[in-house]
Amino acid sequence: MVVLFLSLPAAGTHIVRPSAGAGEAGMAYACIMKPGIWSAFHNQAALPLNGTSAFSFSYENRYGLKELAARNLCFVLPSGNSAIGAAYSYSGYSDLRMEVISLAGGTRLSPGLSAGVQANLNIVNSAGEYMDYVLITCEGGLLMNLSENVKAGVHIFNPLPNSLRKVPVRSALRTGAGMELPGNLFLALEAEMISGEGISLRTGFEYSAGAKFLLRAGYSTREPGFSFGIGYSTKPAVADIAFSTHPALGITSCLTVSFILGKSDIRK
Amino acid sequence: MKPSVIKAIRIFIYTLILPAWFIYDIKAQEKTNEEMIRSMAEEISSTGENSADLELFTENIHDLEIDPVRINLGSLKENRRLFFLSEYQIRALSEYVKKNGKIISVNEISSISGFDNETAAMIAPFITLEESINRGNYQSRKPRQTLLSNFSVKPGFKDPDAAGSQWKMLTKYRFGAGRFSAGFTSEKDAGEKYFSGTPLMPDFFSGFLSFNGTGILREVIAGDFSAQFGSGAVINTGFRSGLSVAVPGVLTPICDIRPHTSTEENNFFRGMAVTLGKGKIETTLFASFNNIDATINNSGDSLNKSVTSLYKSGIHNTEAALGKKDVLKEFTWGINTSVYFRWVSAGIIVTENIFSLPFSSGSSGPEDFYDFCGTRNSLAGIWYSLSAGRFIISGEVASGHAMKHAVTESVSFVPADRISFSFLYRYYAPGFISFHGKSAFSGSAPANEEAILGSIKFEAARNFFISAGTEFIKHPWAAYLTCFPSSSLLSEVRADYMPHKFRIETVYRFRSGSSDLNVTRGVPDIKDVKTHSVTLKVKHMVSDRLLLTSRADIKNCNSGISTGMMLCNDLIWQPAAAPVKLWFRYALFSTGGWDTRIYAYENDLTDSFSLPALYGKGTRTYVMIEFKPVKPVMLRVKYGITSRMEDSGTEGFINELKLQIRVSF
Repeated sequence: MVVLFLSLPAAGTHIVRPSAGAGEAGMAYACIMKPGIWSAFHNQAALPLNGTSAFSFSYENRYGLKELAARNLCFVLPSGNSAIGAAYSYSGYSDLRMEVISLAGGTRLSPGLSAGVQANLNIVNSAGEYMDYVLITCEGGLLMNLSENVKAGVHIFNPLPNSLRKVPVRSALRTGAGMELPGNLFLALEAEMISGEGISLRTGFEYSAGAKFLLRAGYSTREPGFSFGIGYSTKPAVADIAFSTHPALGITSCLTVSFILGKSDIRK
Repeated sequence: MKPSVIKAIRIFIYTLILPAWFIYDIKAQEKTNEEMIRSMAEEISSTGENSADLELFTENIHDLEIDPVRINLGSLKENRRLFFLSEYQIRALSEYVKKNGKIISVNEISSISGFDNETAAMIAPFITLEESINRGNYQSRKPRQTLLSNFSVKPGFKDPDAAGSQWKMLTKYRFGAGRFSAGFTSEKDAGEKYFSGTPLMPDFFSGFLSFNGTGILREVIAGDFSAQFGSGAVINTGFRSGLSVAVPGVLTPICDIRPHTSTEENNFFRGMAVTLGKGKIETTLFASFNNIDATINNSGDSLNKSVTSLYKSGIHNTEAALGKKDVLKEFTWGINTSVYFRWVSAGIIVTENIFSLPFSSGSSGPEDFYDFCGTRNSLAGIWYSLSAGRFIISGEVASGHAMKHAVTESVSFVPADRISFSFLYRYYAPGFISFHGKSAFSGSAPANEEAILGSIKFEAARNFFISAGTEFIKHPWAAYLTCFPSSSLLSEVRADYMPHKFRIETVYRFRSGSSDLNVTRGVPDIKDVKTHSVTLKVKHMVSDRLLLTSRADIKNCNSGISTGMMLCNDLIWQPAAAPVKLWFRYALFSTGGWDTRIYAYENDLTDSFSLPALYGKGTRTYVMIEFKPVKPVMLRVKYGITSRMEDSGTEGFINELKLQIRVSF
């Protein structure tokens, strides 16, 4: 179980960065350039592009094992050109569990450019002789418009050297671009590198089928597998569900329910 | 929402992302040269095996900034100082001025055959439209001085065997007034004593005094200088072109002497050089007497001392290394005579090296069979360059010790403005010895190689350029770690898409070669090494004050046995509100070992460079800040950290701190 737990996305020597959001999972997490409520988990620079306050709950049942399940909660509070976000994540089970409490902020620096940072308090509890620990990590990102229809994002997780902490934490760097195509189609391509591993690629698309339905699919080379998802929006709630395949471990499913507290819109 | 809540949110955001907030005030300003320099330096550092060339490149670039090329003179010699242009572009620039008169704006350059907007923008920082005889700042009538001091250290690093402190120190001073210029350079590497020898001197000290004339006496340099004549097979102690097979650069002969201002400690001349000229004929004479580093065989009596090898690293941080410092006296003389006509130029060069101790014959293996023996090495060469329409043909033939020859021939062909071809053939016989020679694509002290290279560059569409090149090299005799005749192949394809505000660069490289396969006994087997690498770089000029670059590298050695990867992001930001500039890099790398190491050029202190080889698994981060409190003063501080996971699972760190102050007045 510990081995499986360590295989969570962005797992490092010690795990600190959970994944979240069925909308993002449906695109194989190729999402650092895609604004949304779960930007607090993926690229905080996208937070100020949320046009209204919102909160969301996400449940991920990894490989069908409840011991690996993750429950995430987050909210976004925009104000003018800025926004803050807060998130809570709980994953694992009674003998090995991780909680992450995050506080994020993002601001639009100029037209077409925004930046954001986040601080995380990571609490890991283990049974028996395994060590419990509490860590603080930080992350941040940039989001920019390359053109009217193309957005690019950069995100760094844990840029601080491990010499500053007793428990080493892996770092991650993500960079990617997304394009809005005619016909309500959004395409994304992203590269990620986690310290100690090679570069992995993710690609995904989101298609708006009418005013309420969203169809998503993606592919990731890291744990090679496809992802699929759908979303349904009915004011003020939005529901998303996604499935990801793993070549050996099976299927991960994710469900998200979000509430938009105002007129929903994503800024350019 | 209540105003108090909004205020609280804003306070939180401003506090949390304070550094980024300053970017908000982004205003237009003229683009600096930094990105140009960086771009070209990255080109050179792609293979990472040319750090000496990179240092010379950096120095040449800064020289051009200080003393820009006067393109409106229409002089080929003057225009050739733009060493990163092709010969066709250089000639086209000269011809344009001669036919149409003075160029009145940089934009006009893009209309010249062989140029486009990108190239015109690239050379803009390094040219002047002035025709003044007094070149640039250093040679203006008003005296000008620059003092630069660098200090760098790796905090926490200790070497108990080091002879001196771990601080690396560099001081450069340069003075210019009218046609005169002078300067000195002193340097101490990490672990070296600052003063050593008798009399006590800095570990490396170099100086010069030069005069630039327009009459018969065209140039005089007393002190330390570098020189290049022809294609460089006989003498070239400066920068060599041809570092990318896809973009070869200038392949034609150059005759130039210039003050030695770099920290290269062994490959330069110390004495005097004079260039005399009248009309189309020019002659350069030089004589040099220099002490250089070498490993001396002391096994015999004092009369039988001999040189085992030259010691070229310039590092004297242990007693053993100090024992090699300046132990060999080298006297070199030379004369080069050139004639320059509109379409043809040619010259002859003769030189000789005389050493105070004889070089002993090699004995460790067959690769030493052709090593230099004795105390004298004489060389003579003839070079030429011919321009015929859209063809440029040039070459050099040289002969030296034991009548061993070297031949270089190049052809550049530009059938249309948007397409160009280059071909280069070179042959350096085993046993051809040139202590101060290097030509395009050759290594330092070229010998034992025969190579042919072809390249093409064309503008496939607006703002989209494709270039490709391949080089086949044959080594007819055994070489270091290769005890048999061998061959190697290098291919490169690059595609650059450069619309306004951002650019995408992709480079694919393939290299194959062979070497000895380590065996404990007997004749080594042959090890074939094949390396593929791909680099993708996206640069986005968010504003004139903010540049973001993302770069991904994948390198594969011998079909997946070893793979290296790097993902890197750079940020360069110049806030409007303060006289500061900030560089930030964050890179993650993971390689299977040294064979798949990845070189990533870094911005560094002015007039310096950094080119770390990233291998293993880890991260590389640096922050550099430049501060200009008042106009003549510039301060730079750089802090970098490289972490690498050890086999034991622990993480090792190397920190480095660099400080620089530059004063110009």
